[in-house]
Amino acid sequence: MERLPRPGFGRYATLALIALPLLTGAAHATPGPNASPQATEAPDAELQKKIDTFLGHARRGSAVIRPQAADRLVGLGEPAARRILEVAGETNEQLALLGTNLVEAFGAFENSESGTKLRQRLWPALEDSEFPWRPAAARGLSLHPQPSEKELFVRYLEDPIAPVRLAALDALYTLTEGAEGAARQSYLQHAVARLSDENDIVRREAALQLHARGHGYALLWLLEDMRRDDAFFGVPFGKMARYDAMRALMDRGIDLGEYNPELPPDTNLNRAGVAALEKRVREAAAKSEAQLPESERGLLVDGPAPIAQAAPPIQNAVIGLQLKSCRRGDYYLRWTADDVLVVGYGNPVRIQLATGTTDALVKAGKEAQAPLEDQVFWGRAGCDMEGYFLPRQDASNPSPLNLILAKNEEPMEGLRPAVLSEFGAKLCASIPSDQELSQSDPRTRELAKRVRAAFASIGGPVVH
Amino acid sequence: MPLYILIVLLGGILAAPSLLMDTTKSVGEMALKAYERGPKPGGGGDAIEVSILALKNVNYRRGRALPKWVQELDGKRVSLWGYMAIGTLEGRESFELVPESCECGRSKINHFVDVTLTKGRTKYIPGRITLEGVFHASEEETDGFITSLYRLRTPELPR
Repeated sequence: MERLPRPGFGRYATLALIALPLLTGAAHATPGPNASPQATEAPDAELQKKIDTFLGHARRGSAVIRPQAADRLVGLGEPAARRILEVAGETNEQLALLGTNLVEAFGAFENSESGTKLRQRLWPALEDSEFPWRPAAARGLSLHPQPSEKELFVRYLEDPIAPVRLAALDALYTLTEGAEGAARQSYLQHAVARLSDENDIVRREAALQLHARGHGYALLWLLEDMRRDDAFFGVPFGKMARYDAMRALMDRGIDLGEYNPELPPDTNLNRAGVAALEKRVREAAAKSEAQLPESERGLLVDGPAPIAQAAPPIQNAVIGLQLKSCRRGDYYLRWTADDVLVVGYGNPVRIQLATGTTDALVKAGKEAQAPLEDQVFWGRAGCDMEGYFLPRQDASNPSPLNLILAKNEEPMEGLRPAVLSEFGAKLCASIPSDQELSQSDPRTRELAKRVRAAFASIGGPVVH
Repeated sequence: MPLYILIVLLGGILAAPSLLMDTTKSVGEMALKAYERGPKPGGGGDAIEVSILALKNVNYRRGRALPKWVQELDGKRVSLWGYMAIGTLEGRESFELVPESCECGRSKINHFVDVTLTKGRTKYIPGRITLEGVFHASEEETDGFITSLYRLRTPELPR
């Protein structure tokens, strides 16, 4: 007779330990026959005080404390959800004042009346393109996605903000857990499309999800990241991708042999390491494919499309622009000495510009520096940022001058100096028109328009 | 009631090992195994060159011991590259060193090194910097919240 697995003794003990706070909490909440009225009110007042303290930390604490405080509120359940509902106001503007961590926590409350109401506030927030915490709203919604929300999540797979796309993909993955037939096919179609996302984090997540659904070849996307060595003005995106891919593979118990993410991918050690790993991945994938429905076989066998492939680093960029907008998404643009506009990172798009374009921008960039004197930063920390990389006026210093403007979700009048607005306008003007750019690549679709919109959402419109 | 207390205490004692012992593979340890195979040229002196990305990739969970390789760095002289977190105020004693200049409001506990300047004061530098100093790794707590995991004491910012 087949024996059912028995839970280990430790599990019962763990349950007993988990029950401890619940039981003691229940004991506290149940007044004895001789309890005074003050004694019955005291725990409530104490709890309320605790909730308000955590609320304060979650809204105004340091960046590292805010998520911890939000987690504590979720742990307190319905009373905390009720209090948050009271302070959340009625509009998205009022909701935004709670900050990104509390908004995300709205989706984490479970099985409570107020928790459900909090979660209901997230969809209108996500649908509002001016709401500054859309990624947090999307992440909150993805924690406990509802079957009725499937089509809504599908819509957000094309959102301009990568973390929103990522959350939508996560939600769809959860919603199709154990699904077969059309539901599984539909999910696979969406996940495969995200393997060509312009954002590498979204691509990796799609690959890992597909791997978990039996598509072993999806790991080739992570191996490609292990071959990356790209950087954006010193920010080692390639190395970051190597670490992320390595960690994801190790989390799945995959032995990486001698591979070392700290070393460049073209070292003998890493080249051989990834080659050996690819051989093992392909062998395992070929076997696992046999378990898949026939219609799904061979779906990923060709490996990553160009957008997800490792590419040689860009060596001769002389001007850079990095825009990170909490409402309009992120942009990474470089202008090279030989008049190429480079869009994105990883394997970026290269667009040939008219001869002399970069020289003219270098001249404008140098002229913009004089009125700024030595100031390199404007604004305050937040989710909006403009970063400029310019050749210095002093040619003896070869390292680029890095200027940064930043702000939080609130508008900030006069954030950008006029000279940088003029320079920003010149950068935008150098971006070729939609007729000249490929509309099939997500990175170049309506590029100039989107870059101008990102500028406008951070430091205001750039003068043209 | 005494029986209830006894059951709960017994449960707690028996459960503790299963909760505290984590037998899963530590990504941090494996990362360092790979990391240690690479060159460690040092930061000009006898400092150990540590990758901020390796520190960031530690699989951190509150209350759980840090990987051995991180623990072994505690109290050692190290060299680290990174960026001053955007919004670092001028004239302060400390700032956060992060792998990318814009963590943009999302600061995970293992994603930054809390740097204390023992002689100088902060002046925001937007580009990548390399610092050398004495490293400490442990959970630092204020009012029940973890405020830092990695700390570095260094005299001043690079010129």
